[in-house]
Amino acid sequence: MKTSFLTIAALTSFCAVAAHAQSADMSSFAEDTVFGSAGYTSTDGEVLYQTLCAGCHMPGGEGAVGAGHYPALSGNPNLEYSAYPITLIVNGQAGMPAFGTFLNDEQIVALTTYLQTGLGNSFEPDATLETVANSRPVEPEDTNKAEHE
Amino acid sequence: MTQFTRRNLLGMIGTAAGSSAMYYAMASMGQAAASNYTGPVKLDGDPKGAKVLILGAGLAGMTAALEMRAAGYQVEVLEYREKAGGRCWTLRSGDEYTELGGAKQTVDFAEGNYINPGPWRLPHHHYAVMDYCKRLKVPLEPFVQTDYNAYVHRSDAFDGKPQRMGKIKTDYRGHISELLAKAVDQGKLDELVTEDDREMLIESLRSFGVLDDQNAYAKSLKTSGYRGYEKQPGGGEGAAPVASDLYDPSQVIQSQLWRSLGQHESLEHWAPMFQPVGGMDGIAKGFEREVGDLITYNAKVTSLQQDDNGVTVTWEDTAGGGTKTSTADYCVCTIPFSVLGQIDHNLSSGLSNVISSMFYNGSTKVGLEFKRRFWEEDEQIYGGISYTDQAISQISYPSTGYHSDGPAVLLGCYTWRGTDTFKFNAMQPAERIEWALRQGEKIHPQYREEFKAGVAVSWHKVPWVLGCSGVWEDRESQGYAEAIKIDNRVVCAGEHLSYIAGWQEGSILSSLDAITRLHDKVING
Repeated sequence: MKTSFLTIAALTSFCAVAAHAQSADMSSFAEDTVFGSAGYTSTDGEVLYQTLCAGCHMPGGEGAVGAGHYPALSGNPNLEYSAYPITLIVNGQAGMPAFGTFLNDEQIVALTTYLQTGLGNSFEPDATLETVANSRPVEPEDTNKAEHE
Repeated sequence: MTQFTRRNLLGMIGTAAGSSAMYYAMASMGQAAASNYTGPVKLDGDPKGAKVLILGAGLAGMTAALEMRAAGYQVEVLEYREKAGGRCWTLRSGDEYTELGGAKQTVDFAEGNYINPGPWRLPHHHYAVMDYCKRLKVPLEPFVQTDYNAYVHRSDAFDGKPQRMGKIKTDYRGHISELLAKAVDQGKLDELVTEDDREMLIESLRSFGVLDDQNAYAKSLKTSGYRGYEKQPGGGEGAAPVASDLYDPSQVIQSQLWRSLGQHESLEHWAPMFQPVGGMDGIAKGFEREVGDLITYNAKVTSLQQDDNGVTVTWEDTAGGGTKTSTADYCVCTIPFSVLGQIDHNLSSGLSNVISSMFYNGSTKVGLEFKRRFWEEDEQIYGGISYTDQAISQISYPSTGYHSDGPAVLLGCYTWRGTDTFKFNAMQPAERIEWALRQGEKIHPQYREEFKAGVAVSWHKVPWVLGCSGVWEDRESQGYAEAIKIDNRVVCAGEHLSYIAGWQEGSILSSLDAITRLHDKVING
C-alpha cells in the first residue's frame, strides 16, 4: 500500500512540476491542493492527513510544542481503538475544531485508518462507517461560519 | 519614574482625555453609538499593596498592568514570548519567525516595509483602542479599506478578468434601481408602497441608481460619471468625454461579483478606518513604554494554582533556564484558552469546562513584497482591497508611501476559518507563498516579474496562541457568563471573553471589565 502510494505521489508530483515550472519547493500534497467551496474531496487517508491534520500534528505525526502543544499521533496509544480519534475528528476537542461538518463518513474512516496504520503506527484498523455515523451530533454545529472577517 | 508620579501622570491623562467623557455624554443623547467603553477606567480605593500577577503581555494583559499599577497594585507580568504585544504583532525587514514544525522565515523585505500578521486595521468606533492610542501617543494614519478602483474578481465571471469595483457597484445599483422604479411606477408594489411614498421613492431610486427621466439605467455621460468613462474628460483639444458601455443586468447579477461589494459597508469596516503608523505593533510598543518594566519575558507558564491565601504560578524560564515560581494575591489570566487548557490549574469546574471546550479558529496571511508599486503605477490603485473567489480571498494594497520608488508590500492572502485555511495551514511557508502568487497573478499579471520576497503566517501554527481567536457558537449555552466570573482570586480576560471576537477592542474591553470587577472585590470584598 505504501509503495503504491509513493508511486502515485511521484507521478502526480512529476506532472504538477511540469505544469508549474517555478515551484520546485512544493510537496506533491501542496502542489495538488484544490481550494474552494467543495472543501476536502479526497478519500485517501494519507492525502487527507497531509493536507489537513499535518498542519498541527505535523507531517510525520510528531506533534509540536510551543506555549501549549499539539499531541504527537505517531506512537500515540489513544489511536489503538478508532472510536476515540473518530469522536475527536467529528466533534473536535479543546482548541481543535470539529471536522465532521466538512468530512464525510467515508473520508473519516480513511483518515482514521491512516492514523492507525501510517505515521509509524501499526494498530489493527477498526474504523467503520457505523462508528463515524454514531459519533455525529444530532445537530452539528457549523464550525466554519465566520464571526469576524 | 516613581510609582507616585506615574499615578499622577495617569491621572492627568485621564483628566486630559475629556473627549471620552464628552463622547459618553453624547452617546446618552443618541448622537454617538454607545459602547461599554466609557472613558479611562476609574479604580477608586486603596488596594493596600495587594499584588496582582498578570499572565500574558498582549493588549488585555498590558491594559490590566497599566491600570492596576496606576490604582496602586503591585504588578508582575509573565509573558511567554520575547516581546510584548501578543497578536498585536508586526513582521518587518530582518525579523525572524519560526512557526510550529520548525519552519523559520527571515523577513527579506526592504528597510521599513512590514506586514501585520494579526490585526491590521482599526474601526473608528473601537473607542477603547482609539482612546489608548491617543493616551499612549501611538500615531495613527488612515487605513484605506475601500478603493473603488481596486478589483472584484471571480474565476467564472467575465472570463476570469478582474473588474473595477466601482464599475460593478454602479451597474449593480443602476440595474436593480431601474427594476424597482419600474415596478413601483407600474403599480406593482401598490400593496407595499403608499400613494404618498411612490413619487418620492422613484425620485430616490433615480438618485441612488443614476437613472434617467424614464427611470432607465442607460449609457450616458451621467452614468459614466459614476462608473467610469470610455474616455475621461480632459482639457484643450479633443478633450470631450466619451461615455462607457454598461454591462447588461443579467451579466452583472450572474457574475456574483456583488458578493464582494458588502464588506466595506459593514460597521466594522466603515470609513474611516485607521492603522498605527509603521505597523500594528505600534500599539504594543505604546503599552510597553508604560509597563515594560513590569514584564518578565520568555516565561512559559506551566501551572496556575490558587487557594484562600493567594495564587501561585510556576513557570519555565525559556531564556535563562530553570523553573520559577511567582506568587500574588490575585491573578488576571489573559492566556488564550487554547493554551490555558493545557496548563495544570485548579480553576473551578465551570470555568474549566469553558476553557477546555473552546476551539480556536485559523487564519492565513501572506505578505508579498514587490520590486515596485505596479498597482499604483500601472493600475491606479492606491490602497484598498481587491476581492477574489480564490482561496487568497483578497489583496490589500499599502495605505501609505504612495508613489514611492522601490519595493512595497501588499497583503497577498487573508483567509478566515474554513477548509482553505486548513489547507494553507498544512503547507510549508514557501508553499503558501507560491499559492498566493499563483492566485494573485490571475489579477495582477505583473506578479511573477515583480515579486521580491514573501512571508506567510498560519495562525494554527503560531507557537504562543495555537490559533487566531477563540470561537463561541453560542455564548449563552457555552458558559460565557461562567467564564468571565471572578473565580476566587483569578479572573480571565482577552478577546475570547468579549462579543468582539478577534478584534483588539474585545481584548481591551474584556480586560477593563475584568479588572473593574476584581478591584471592586478587593476593595469591597
